[in-house]
Amino acid sequence: MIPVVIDGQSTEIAPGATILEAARSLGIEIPTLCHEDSLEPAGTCRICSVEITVDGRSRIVPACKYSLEEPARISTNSARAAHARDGILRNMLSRWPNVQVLRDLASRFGVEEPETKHPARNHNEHACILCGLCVRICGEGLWHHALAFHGKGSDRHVAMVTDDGASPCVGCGACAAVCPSGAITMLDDPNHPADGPRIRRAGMVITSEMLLLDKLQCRMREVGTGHLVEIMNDYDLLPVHNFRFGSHPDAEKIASHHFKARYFTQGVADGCGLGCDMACAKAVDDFVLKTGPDKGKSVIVDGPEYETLAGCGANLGNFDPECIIELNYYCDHYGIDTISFGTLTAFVMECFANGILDLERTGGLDLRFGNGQAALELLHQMARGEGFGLVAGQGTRRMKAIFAAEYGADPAFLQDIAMEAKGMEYSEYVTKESLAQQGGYGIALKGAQHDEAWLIFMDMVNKQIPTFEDKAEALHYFPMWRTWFGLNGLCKLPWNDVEPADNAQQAEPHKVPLHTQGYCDFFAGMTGKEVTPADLILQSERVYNFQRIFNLKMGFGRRKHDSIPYRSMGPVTQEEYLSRQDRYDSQLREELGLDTASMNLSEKRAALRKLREQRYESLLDAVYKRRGWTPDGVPTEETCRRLGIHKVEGLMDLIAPHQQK
Amino acid sequence: MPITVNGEQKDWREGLTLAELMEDLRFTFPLKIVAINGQGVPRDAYETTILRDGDQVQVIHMMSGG
Repeated sequence: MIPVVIDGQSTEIAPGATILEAARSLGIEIPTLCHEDSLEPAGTCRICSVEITVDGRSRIVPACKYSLEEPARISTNSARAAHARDGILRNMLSRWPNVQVLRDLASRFGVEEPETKHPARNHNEHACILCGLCVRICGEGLWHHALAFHGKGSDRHVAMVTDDGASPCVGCGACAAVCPSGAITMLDDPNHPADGPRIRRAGMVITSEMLLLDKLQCRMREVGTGHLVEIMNDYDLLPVHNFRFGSHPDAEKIASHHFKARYFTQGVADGCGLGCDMACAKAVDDFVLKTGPDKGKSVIVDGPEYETLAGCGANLGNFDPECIIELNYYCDHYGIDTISFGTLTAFVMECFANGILDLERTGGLDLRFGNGQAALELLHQMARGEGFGLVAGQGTRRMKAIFAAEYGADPAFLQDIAMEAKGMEYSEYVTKESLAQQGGYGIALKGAQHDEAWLIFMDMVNKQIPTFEDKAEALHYFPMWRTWFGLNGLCKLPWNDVEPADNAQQAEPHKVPLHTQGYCDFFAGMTGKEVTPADLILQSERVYNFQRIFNLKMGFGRRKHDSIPYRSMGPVTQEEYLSRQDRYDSQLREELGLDTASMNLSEKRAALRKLREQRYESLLDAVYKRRGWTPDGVPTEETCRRLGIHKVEGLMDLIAPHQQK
Repeated sequence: MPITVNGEQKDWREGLTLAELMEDLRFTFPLKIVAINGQGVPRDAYETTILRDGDQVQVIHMMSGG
């Protein structure tokens, strides 16, 4: 730490801190015009000039940009500092006499407008004062570079970049939000929000966090969701070989730093959400394809993201980055979801490993784990509607029936290892040790899609939700909260893939309450209707319960439809049990009081299976109760009345036969 | 007496720092909050925080991803 004295007050600061930061820590306010915490200091306007004395030598420096590396004495208001600051202010006033932010500073420091008038004098009260914040937030902040300085001397001004190939303005409003003089305003918002500035203020909170904190947190701007590969591998949650295992020594080969260093195009806006500063969608430019109809072509590949890396990579035992990129490209090209393709192919590979499939049945495709090239050929066959691709292309649920009927496979084993629920392939997290996440997948209305409730860390690692009731509460709140993003056409990632610096000090940090309030501000800013976080949950609950009843109408929506394969609850095979034997044995001892030392592996597997299946049923009981559903998973009449959806024609008639008498 | 981490007993050794414990447990996820005996520990103090025998450590991983 470095001792510094500012205006007579002593403090110690970390080396590299700026004078501005040191002064703020002492409650001393230094004026700024071109400074924004989330951007690199520019020191353009010099209004923050202070006098610094180091080793007896004094000089004037900009507080926003000057980093302290040695003991120093600083004065923000010495005669020399004031002379520098006031001179700058007088110059600005002579040019822009009516700009409010300058008049406020003049009033604060007792500075009067000089008699000499600037040749480019501008009386507009919202004149641009050339601070450059808009140019920097657009370029450095959002990677758009739609704004730039043009002209020289008195003609210097900010305008759109009009060169060929320049990024067009996307109307995100970040420039208007940071403009200190009001020179940039948003006039033509086609959405006609009730309170546009309120929305932009809420948005700027995320912008600021992304620029300041993302590099210390999830690095979404650098590698997107790909950072989860190494994280999930470390926590034994990365699906490997059809969800049998949770980590693999070769996972490092597809870790995010390789993609950052060798493949991802960096530093450009992604176009996924216009003006989104998270910019997590990554692309691989100039990728030369090795297979398929576009073989030899140089293409742009959108991705790969985490789910693709895990599904088309680790879950297939495929740790070849370029093979994953090619699978990513052709899935997109053919309109096939990379998650479904990855999970169904992992199922196929396990069937191949177990002799349910062989080279004859796959038409010569050697679909052993690790053979990414065979997976690619399978993908091409699926797209062409040929060979074994005709079978695999029907999805995991239908393959179970085909393999049992035509190849004589054991239907119970297929049911255990086929990772689908409600006909949808599982997304790429190993859920065996997290009951709440099993429920997140199993109860989700649309199938085993993690976006309704991602609770693995809360449940398995943090041990935050130990009881069935705790898990049920989480499986009430988070699916409803995630549904709200869908209802409003919003991306979920800015909610919790970057977090406020002081999130840890909040009462319920896992809900990221400051961001939740931001979404309330967004909603109120758009609609003019004030809402609380509880109101947002209620909005979702209405739709969610209506959808559940719609499922019922279509022949689903009951308890039996929330069942999940045993692979997602526990170890199906002996080798899976052995891979986590300590964990499983200790659960048998602690929860069932069994003497595992005297049991053989089959007995232990059977006991564990019984326990885990019972726990899943108990979880369903608790979740249904919390959501106001019958034990069969149907919303009760009382729930429908509470939510006001009972007025929908025919709805109460539909649920009536399913009510408990 | 061992330390407990999220309610589970873990091995402790003299001089064990919080940063080393995180490494031992492979708690590599960046978005996490750590409290020792109910007292929050700033992220930049993990390497200088030495755990004592019997400490109760709570490591809350936030919910990024998914």
